[in-house]
Amino acid sequence: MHVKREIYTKVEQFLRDDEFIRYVMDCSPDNESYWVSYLSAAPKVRSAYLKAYDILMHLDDCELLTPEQAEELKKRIFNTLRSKVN
Amino acid sequence: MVPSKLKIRTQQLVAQFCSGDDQAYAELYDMYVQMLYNYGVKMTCDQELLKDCIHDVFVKVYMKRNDKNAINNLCSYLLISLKNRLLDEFRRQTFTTPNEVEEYEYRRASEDVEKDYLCREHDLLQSEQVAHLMQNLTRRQRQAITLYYLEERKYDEICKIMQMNYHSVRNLMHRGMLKLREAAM
Repeated sequence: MHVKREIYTKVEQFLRDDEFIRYVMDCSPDNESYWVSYLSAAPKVRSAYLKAYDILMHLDDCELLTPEQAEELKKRIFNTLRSKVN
Repeated sequence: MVPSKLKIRTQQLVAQFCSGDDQAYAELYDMYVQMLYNYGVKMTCDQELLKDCIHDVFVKVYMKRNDKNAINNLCSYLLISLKNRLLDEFRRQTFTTPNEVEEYEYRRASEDVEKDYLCREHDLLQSEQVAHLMQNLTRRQRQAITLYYLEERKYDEICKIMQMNYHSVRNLMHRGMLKLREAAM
């Protein structure tokens, strides 16, 4: 069921892996055993794995938009939607 | 794992939003925009580009509100959409802003090889000689390569135009490029 993965050593490789993202974000129990064994089969992936996990879970040193930027972007989205829907 | 409270709240909001509640949509934006941004800055240092891509992702979600299956797992859906959107932009930028290539290389070091290769091929394609070489390709290969390199279309557009999925387009282009290189030797 799972594609055969090379050994990831870069955080970025995890961050670009759709299945990894789904595993972390969707709490899907079917994939749990796969990723646990992936991790144990290749101990050197561990630090990249954990870092990627933290980034997805928002547990790293977060870089955030300021509230003003977030609000501005929201307005822009709603403007686009208005022009699309009407 | 996403804390279950957040997950449950997300599901409630998605349900409301799917039945037309824009306020729920706005709340989902507030919940997830920072997560997307934090993820995106790991892939690009171009803030404006990142904001544009986040904008596009949220617009896309809104347009899909009648397709509940598509946004069943909103959280991963948002992240994966953003990632794909960014990768599309990187591919496009490689060809349209040659003066920023150095910066681009720096932040995407692990893809240097492929990118360099594509850049070289791109330069090659701009020469007149190529028009001649293109005759070695099948019609479909020529079409894909023309769309991508000369018209600078994005992959998703090419997939639509050619009515093929992403992997088939990639394969087609890959085989076409090999053939071109062979012919050029």
